[in-house]
Amino acid sequence: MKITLNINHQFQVCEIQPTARLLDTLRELGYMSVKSGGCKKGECGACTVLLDGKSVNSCMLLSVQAEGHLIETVEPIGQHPELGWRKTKGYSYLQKAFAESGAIQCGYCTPAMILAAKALLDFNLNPSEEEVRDALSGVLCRCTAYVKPVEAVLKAAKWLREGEVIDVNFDLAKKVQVDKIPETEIVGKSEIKVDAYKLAQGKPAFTADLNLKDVLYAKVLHSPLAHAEIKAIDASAARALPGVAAVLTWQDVPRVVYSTAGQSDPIPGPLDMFSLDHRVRFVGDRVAFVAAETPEIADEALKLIKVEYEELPAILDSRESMKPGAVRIHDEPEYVNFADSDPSRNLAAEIRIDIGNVDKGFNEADRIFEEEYEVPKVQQAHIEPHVSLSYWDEDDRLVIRTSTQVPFHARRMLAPVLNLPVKRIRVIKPRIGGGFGNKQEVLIEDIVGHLTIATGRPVLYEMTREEEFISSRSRHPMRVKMRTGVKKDGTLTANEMIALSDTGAYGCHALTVTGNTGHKSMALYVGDGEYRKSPNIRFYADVVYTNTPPAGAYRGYGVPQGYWPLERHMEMIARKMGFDPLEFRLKNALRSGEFHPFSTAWNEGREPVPETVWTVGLAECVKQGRAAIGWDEKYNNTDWKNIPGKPNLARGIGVALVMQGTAIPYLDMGAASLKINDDGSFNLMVGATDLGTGSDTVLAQMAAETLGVPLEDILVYSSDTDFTPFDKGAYASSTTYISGTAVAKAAAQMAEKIKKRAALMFADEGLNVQPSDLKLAGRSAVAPDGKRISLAEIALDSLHRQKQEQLMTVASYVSPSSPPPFGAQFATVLVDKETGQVRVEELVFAVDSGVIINPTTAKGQIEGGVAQALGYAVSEEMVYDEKGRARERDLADYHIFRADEMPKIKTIFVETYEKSHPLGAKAVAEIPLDGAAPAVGNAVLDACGADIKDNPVTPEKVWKALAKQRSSQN
Amino acid sequence: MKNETGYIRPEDLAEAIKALDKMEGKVAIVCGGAFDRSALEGADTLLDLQNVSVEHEVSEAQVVLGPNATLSDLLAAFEDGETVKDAFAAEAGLNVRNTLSLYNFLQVADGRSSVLALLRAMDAELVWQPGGQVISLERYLENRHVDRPGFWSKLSFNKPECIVFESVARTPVDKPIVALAVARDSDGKLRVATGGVTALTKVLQLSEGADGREKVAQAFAQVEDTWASAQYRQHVATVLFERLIGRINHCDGGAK
Ligand code: FES
Ligand code: FES
Repeated sequence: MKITLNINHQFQVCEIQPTARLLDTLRELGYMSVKSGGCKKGECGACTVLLDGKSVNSCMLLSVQAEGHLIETVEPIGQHPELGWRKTKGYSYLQKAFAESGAIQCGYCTPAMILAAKALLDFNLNPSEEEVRDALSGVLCRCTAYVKPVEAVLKAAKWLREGEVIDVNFDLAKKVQVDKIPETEIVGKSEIKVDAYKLAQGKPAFTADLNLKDVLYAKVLHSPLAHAEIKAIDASAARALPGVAAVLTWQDVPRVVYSTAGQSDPIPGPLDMFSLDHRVRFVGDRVAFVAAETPEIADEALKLIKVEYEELPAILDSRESMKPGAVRIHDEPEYVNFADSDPSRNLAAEIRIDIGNVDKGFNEADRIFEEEYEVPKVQQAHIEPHVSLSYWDEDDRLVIRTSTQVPFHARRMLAPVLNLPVKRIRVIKPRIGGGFGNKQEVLIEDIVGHLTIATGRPVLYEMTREEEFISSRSRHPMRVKMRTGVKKDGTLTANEMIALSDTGAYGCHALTVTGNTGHKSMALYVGDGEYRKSPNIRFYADVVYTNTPPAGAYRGYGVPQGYWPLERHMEMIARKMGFDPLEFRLKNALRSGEFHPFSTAWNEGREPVPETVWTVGLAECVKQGRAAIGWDEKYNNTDWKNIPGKPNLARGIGVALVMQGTAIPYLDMGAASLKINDDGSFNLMVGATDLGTGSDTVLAQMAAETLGVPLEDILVYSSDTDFTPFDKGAYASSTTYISGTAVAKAAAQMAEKIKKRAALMFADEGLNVQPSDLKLAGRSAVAPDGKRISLAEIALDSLHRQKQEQLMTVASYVSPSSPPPFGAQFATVLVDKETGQVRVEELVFAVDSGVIINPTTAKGQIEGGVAQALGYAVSEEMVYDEKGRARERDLADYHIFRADEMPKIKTIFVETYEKSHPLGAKAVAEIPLDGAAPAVGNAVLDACGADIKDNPVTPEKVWKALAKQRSSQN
Repeated sequence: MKNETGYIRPEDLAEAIKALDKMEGKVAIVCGGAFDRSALEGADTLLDLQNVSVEHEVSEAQVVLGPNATLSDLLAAFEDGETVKDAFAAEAGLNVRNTLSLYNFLQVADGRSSVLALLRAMDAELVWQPGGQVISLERYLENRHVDRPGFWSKLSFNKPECIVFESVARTPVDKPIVALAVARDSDGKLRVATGGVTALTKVLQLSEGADGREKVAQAFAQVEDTWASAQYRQHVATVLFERLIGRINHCDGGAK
């Protein structure tokens, strides 16, 4: 039917199906700022538009219902002030405030946030923070913890009230310098993200925003059973359905065994998966792929595929996996082992690390503490779902435009699966709407690839939110036993962690995630005195298969699973032995100049290389965090803990100390290239993948610093396997460190070339200078006497005038070290002792991430990470029934924090200068995931004595622990 | 393939009833925003009620809203009452409150809905069309999935003298595991709606001063699911009930 929609005060006639969603119609009309979070049922708010001035979810409305109403999207609200000869009104105050405050990380939720804010400010120019939070409450953001978006709206309101942009200062984290940090121009400054304005305008920057003609829509049939053999599959009716272009089953695609883990070659894990198989191993496993003219037809076709299953016994509890007689989950002959994997025992990986003499250490202890802990399976819940689009280009090369953290790994890994040489695949990574590790998986690119090969046509596959829950990846759940030997004076003599890790149906990241669990947590406490020289640490893990959805990479990469047991255990020991929790921890913690204990014993299945840790700002983190949270006024202070007139309520305070890693030494490689343009600007090409972290900006800042230009003169492009140099991708907190060093090297080489040419040009003018005498500053090469030649002149000279050459450099970097960042996470909570309900009141994180390249983006990383960790603390978990069916299938049941319920979050940077990085930086992105859960657990213990061994700390667990405590007291 | 679905947007109630009467095949009622579009599947005609809404009537004593009114409109009907605001926040963020119509809300809301608990405690009523028959919300909820032609055109409730709400959840606006809404009318009678579990439990009617503890605990006796045990819910329900009674005695939560 034909309808007329009033979109942004323009009437548009469109032909639609009466049942079409407004969201889909708007996107078909080209309003790509309106996003789908995959839920299409009102959970995420990514699809926000204004309808008659109110923020609404466009997925909940039919297009036809919107006829006669005013629909507003973000597109017209502001644009670049100079579009060639056409001057515009520029960006709106809201766009400016979002960009300048750092409220935009991945930017997928940004148009929705801006519209929700506009709806508020259009009638209330002086909103309270509570009103702003309520206005944003319908838009979920997984990146920012809403701190900066709220700040941006309040600032925009102020600017609107004043009628001008005044006071552009935004709340920055406190910075404390432990080491002397060299002065810099661009590095260390809160530069606006290079992609901020593009995202604030809702430009079509994401994978699904490319509106290709002739595109087919892919859908996947998922297994309803946890474990079964497909006896027969009949797709004839589906294939016969008009509008269906292809249906693929395991009989139609090559049987190539692979792993979906996006890691360097050789993948450190078993190869145990096929694009499609005759065995399904979890509810949600792939059964068939469909490509059709519309998503609705594809859905219809799925219903027509007849599958006959022979149900097999399923293992849903990791403790059952290795029992004698357990059903074998992988018996395919193509299975390729890695290290100690043993599919006959359902063992995807095995880790046995002994450092020092652990048994001797236990013998020397005055007391030994043993306890068991458990951590749940949780979901990354990025707001942009997995999405890929593939098509043949005019050279018969397969182009895959995909939301991935690992474009180069994807290309390499897909080649055998699709039976194409690497050179005939091009992977393009546009903007990514969040990934948090889940897009380190080459999860769906094969699906669109197979379907394009089958049909010859472009194919788009966007996972639904439900598919994200039942068939993407998650954080490994683990059961962990801790045993710790302690001397009377508080010295740890031995520390042991035994983990049973559940990788689900496939072993992607099985070894490396679980290895990290021990490697990055158990390394923190080495003991004191003589034990520092030779700590006694044991970490054993079995990583087993079960018939549940596969686990994989999730920001933190195994480390949060280590810190829950470790830091809950340390707290328990401190309390039982009467030690101050902070002093006890610091007494035993790793110090500068000591070996990373695990570096002497383990390296992800490769040869270990001992590594000294030089920068440890932990003690200062404790000092700063302690002051910021008011530890000394609160800890053991009953006046603070008790609430007058509310005997059912109690406050508590807790802490957890943490460390992470920075990249994987001797393995992860990043590269960058730089070329100069006629006007003295530079193209910086990086294979590194900015998934919202701001890494493009940080890398550009590093280049700008060396080249003496403002940030705007560095045009960053990332990433495209045809054009950008190789990079392992965005994981392991490595971009600033590894790719950043590559950028710094490429920039240093470029600076050399520029100086050489400038020296020649100065010589032409009669000035004799050595290149080494010149410095680059203010877009110029500057001689010692102050004479300068602009970079634009130098570029013109090199490109057009004499001894013409393209000034271009390329550099790569692989690190021999992995300097850990450190942090002290503090939490305060309010517990209702009658109901067990916990409310987190404040989270303070003091972190040593080396030199902070961009304080705003780094602070955003911390805030967003802490918010995810807060969910891990109190609410997030994935639960399965006795048939292996997921309880959490949407963002209603899998609750992630909203803007209107966040506790206070405070960040403090303790800056050390890490000499192994050209600018002194360490990693920042993953460490905030580690400490919030145990700090909250410890705060709950402090508040009411409930000692919860398994997160999340839910009301019933607290209530039960308190009931147990009461009964043991009686 | 099926012919294209028809679409009708009547101008008023009379026209809507007339149109409904004339329509053949499967008619899907379309009324404001919805979570669930499954009702549209296979529909021959979409009957859009957006113009059928009554003018919102909010007086001292009564609230009347049309099917197209949203949760935000319902919230606006309460001039006072922080606890009611909490129930709405726990129900959904602002976008959903602005988009979801009461019509579609009542189609899908289950026992985990805090706003439904409020409406049940206030003994809301609906006017069913065609025919204009007044039915209780309880009756509507019992039969809402029975396929029968028609729609409700009015939701109304008398403002109780006092309404209070308490819940327990993992986070401040997460879906509650246990929820209680208690309304007191001018005669001092209490209506207690329990929530926090998918299935709808019976609304309890208590006379003033009656010991509702037992009854409230009883309401959760069999209510066990993966979110919480019955034992926990029973305990917490009695705790919340006592708190609510304490508050209602001070009328901390007036609807008027
Ligand atoms: S709320 Fe519309 S796509 Fe999620
Ligand atoms: S910036 Fe909000 S979802 Fe990424």
